[in-house]
Amino acid sequence: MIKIFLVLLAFSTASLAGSRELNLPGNIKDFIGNYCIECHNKDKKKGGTRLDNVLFTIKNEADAQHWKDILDVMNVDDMPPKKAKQPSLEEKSRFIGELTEGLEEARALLVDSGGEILIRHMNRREYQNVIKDMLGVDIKIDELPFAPRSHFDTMAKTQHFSSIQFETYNKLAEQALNKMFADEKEKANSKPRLRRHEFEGKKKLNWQAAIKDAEKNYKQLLAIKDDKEQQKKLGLLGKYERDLNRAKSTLNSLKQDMKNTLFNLFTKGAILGASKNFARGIQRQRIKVGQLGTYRFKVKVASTGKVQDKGAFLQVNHGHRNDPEKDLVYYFPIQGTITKPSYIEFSVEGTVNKAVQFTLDYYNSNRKAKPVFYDWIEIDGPYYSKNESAAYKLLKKYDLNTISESGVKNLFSEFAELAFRSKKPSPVFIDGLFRHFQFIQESSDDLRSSIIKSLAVILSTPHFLYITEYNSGSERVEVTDLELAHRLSFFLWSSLPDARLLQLAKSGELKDKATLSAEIDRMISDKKSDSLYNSFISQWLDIWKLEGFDVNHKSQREFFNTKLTMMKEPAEFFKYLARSNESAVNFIDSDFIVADSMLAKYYGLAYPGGSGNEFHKINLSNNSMRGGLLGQAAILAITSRTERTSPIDRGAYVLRKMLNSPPPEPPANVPDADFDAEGKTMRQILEIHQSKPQCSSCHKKIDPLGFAMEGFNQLGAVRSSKEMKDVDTSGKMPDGSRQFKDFNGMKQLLVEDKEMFIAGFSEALLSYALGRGASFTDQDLIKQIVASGKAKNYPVRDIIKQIVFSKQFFRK
Amino acid sequence: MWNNNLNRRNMLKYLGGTLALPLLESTSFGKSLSAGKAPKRVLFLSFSYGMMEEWFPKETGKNYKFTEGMKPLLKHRNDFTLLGNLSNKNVFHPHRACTTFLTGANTRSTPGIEFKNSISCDQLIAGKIGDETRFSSLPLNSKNDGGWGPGASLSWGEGGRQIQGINGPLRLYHRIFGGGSVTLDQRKALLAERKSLLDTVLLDAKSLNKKITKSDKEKVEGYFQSIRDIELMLQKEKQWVGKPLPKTKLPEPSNSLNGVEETEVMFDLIQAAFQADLTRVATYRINCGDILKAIKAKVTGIHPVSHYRGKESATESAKARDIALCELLSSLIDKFKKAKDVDGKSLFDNTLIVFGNEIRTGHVTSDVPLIVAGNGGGGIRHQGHIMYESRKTPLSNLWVSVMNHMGLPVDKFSDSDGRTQEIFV
Repeated sequence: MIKIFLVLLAFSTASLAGSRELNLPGNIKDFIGNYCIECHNKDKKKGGTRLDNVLFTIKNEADAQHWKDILDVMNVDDMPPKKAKQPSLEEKSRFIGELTEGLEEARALLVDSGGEILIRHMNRREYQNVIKDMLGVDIKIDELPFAPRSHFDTMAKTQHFSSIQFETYNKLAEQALNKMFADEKEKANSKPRLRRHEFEGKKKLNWQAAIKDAEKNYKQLLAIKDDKEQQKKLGLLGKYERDLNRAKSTLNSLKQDMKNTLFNLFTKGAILGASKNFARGIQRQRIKVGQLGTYRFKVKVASTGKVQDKGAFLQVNHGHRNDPEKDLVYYFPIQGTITKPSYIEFSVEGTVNKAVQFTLDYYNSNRKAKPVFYDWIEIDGPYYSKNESAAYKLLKKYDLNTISESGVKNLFSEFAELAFRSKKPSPVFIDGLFRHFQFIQESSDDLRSSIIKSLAVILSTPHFLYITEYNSGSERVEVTDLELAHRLSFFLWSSLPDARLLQLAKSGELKDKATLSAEIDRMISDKKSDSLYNSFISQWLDIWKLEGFDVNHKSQREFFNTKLTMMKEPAEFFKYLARSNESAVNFIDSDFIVADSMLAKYYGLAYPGGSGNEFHKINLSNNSMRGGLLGQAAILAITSRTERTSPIDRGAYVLRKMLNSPPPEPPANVPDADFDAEGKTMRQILEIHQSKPQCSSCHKKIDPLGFAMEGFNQLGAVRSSKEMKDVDTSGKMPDGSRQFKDFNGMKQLLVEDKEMFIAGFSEALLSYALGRGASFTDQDLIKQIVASGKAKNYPVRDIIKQIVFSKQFFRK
Repeated sequence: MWNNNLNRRNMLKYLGGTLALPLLESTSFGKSLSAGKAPKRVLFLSFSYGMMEEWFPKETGKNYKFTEGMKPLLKHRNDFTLLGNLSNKNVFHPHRACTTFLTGANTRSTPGIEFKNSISCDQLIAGKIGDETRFSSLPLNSKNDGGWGPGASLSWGEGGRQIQGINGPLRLYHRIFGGGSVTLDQRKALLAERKSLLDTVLLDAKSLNKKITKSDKEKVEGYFQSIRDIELMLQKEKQWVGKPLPKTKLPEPSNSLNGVEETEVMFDLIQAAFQADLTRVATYRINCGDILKAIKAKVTGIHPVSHYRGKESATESAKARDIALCELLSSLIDKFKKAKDVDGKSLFDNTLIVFGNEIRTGHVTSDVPLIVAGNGGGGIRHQGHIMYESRKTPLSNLWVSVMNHMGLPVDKFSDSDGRTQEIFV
């Protein structure tokens, strides 16, 4: 990741000598002169090393390597030897700090590609979207290898194409084509129907059985209260008391439930008890639906409490509970009462990538809440989209069982042109494909299957798999209208242009600035742009890491149940800012959040209403800490460990994302801070760590920013004033001068430095859009975005537009 | 302790009670193999992040004291050597434990390129002896990403080209036992069809190549290379077309195996591949993150566990991880000791097992954990615990010795400055 010009001015003392050279600061020369060359000179050459002739300009990898070796020796405290003249801690710390930064910058310079955009193949998401857009089918892509997580998945440089990928693409293509026909058949043959699930049957059975079991269990345990032998025999030694208490409380809560619930009032329906001991069998309802088409759900449900019970939610999962890709989760607060029940309605689209079950779950964040009453669930579906995919429309023209030879050739050409995104296939390829088709056909009596296999070959070629732009000259030239349309749609939709965009490209209107601007507005409002919000944010802000943040689902139930909606928050925030074209400075601090009812509840904020499942803008009070990305639970958790916060991770995150000044990787072979030190607070431990020269230059910048965030625990909840009694959240900004007294104070100073955030955000978007790292070549554009957006305080959509309008985006 | 929590039911179900039985019903041996003589084999195992500092024993020699983390290996103490203080000096990133483990490369030394690896020693060995077997090598990974750092397997090809490993037991199972039975004629027809398919896509690739820039061509070269790789595989398949893939009693493994179970099943399949002489060189990246989850460790993030110090729950988890890894290695040694090779000796006698990575502990990238087990077909003399000079001895020295052992007359590899000859007779 490179740093922008502004940052260089702010933090660095190294200077850029020429386009590809870096001058190390004068202190480094002084240090080498004072402490190294006495032994490492022309005559002595201690350890075979000479430093009297070392160059203080880094021009190439060999120079960088030489300096890296010197840094390594300093980092592990090998030099200067004990007997020799010793630098002060401050001198050493400064030397290590400046050399580390200098080397980071030199590396960025040395690998700068000059802004060249390399050809790349579609990543997993894009491949899946394109197959969906082109063929109209949803396919599983589990078998395609994952891209490394360290960069955007659009980056050409980190992409790798292996034989396994080729084989998988070829296999998936054949599956997708077959599925396209099967789906069309299913659509034609199946009709929507309305089903209703009633729950009464299960209620009685579970209710009576549960009480009976609990009674029996408790009595059995009670009977052996003083019989140690028997307890031992049953393997209860050391656990007996606990088990007995549990059995007792189970029985009591069941009896309580019986009293509390309005069980006797109902002749129909089922009740989910708050105690969780009751009616275990109907805690969840699994209802199978198909993979294809849209299903409409309606649930009659009520809280049995006197007033609407804020603690109860109806949770709907699309997929198995343990499915890691389970991303469709809806939460509906149960607002209805027995006399006035709620009718919760929602619809879900079947998809192969998610399991085909829905789980109606009951989640109660308030342990004292009353049980919930379900009457029934209605399911109506499947309903299908009337639109036929471009590929199906094309194939429909031909009868694949009787098609002639010339018909086959035409079909191949037409299908290839569609698959190659309006680029014409070479005649040589079509002839070759026809020979391949004949070859398969020789040993087959199934014409249709031979054709499908051949079409799958088209979907395995580089022209389909790679996002191709032609340029055989050595000059960089402007993209064609069609190429521009594709760059735009892969950027904003991670997929193909739609008919309108293609039409504008074909008629030559797309490059008109007003037209292009209107198209960006249209695309950003389209549902397909969810791909940008989700994927860009998840990768840029590392939100995907929350998946692996495993907390105990019992003791941390509230976090556990809210985790999936937390994961959506940063993307929904971005979506809101982009669609309403509000200031990107809101990412740093905002007086509102964007949340669904579940998350609002987690934050202790009132949700404005609606079904509860949608994300809405919610205003914050003046002293709230929730504003901006840094107040979001997902970000507070991924920068923590599951059992505690990590000020280092949080501080480094602020430097990376808010100040666009990523700290270097921790140096290898330098010991961790002494976390074992007894009787010391985290702050004290890190202060000792900071005092070591190898650590100080970075940790002096990192740690205070992280400590400012200590008002939140590792689960993103605000700590109570009791917990905060001895916690100090004040500190200094990385420039070492400006002070803040707490988290909100730090955010104010971050807002003062908003140019750095804007630069980092723009670089990240540019990098995602172009599939290459932002480099020194892009500094003019970044500076221009930073300068020109200032007057309007950086509306998000304007930044996106500036990137699209840039010469970087227009040139290939 | 973790093994109390471990539910082995699925495992046993998967193995169908055939634990003691041979994994193969019929075998198809490699070319140069005559009955009664077995080839040398080598297996490289690696994993993400390091061990606890406490895992490393202090004493050297044959009677060194086992640390708690190493205890599961106690019963095999005479059958492996712990090689202390070897280092890959060019590891820049203190969180990447597998990227240059077998290459020793300086990934930053190529002008204008951010990252460039070099060929790994297993691939040099495969280049020498790979022609003898159906698969010249088997680079393997656990099914899910294990935080190993860049790379598609431990193996890297000529010029530092990534080699995609086979991810997880199900895919490995299909690779080594095939998918269903086909007749010889069907197989031949299938191979011919694949060849025709490759010829066809190449026509498109060539037409694309005429229309793009030089750097784009270099990128699309990855596509050409993938096609060449498949062609090579097809040529090989052709040579082997008359010899059926081995049949097995092992049922198809479930795709939901994770962590400990997944690793054990991978070991079973590697054993089967070696016993049938499908390959003589294999690499495998173990998934420590999934293992932490499987053993229900208190902290399951591999990175937080690597920074275990000062945190009780993380320390406990790190300890459990070290023990789990050594239990797995120990179970592999057990399996290989029981498995018969063609010469009547055990697979363990004929195989060299290398277990280690590029991170010692925390951010320390020198003096890495490294175990060599097995008798490697003779010529191995285990020494207990050997300690080299700290931070000064290249890991590549070991690779030179391993390559020599496998029949490659090399004197130098990557940054090597000698050999680790102590255990090689």
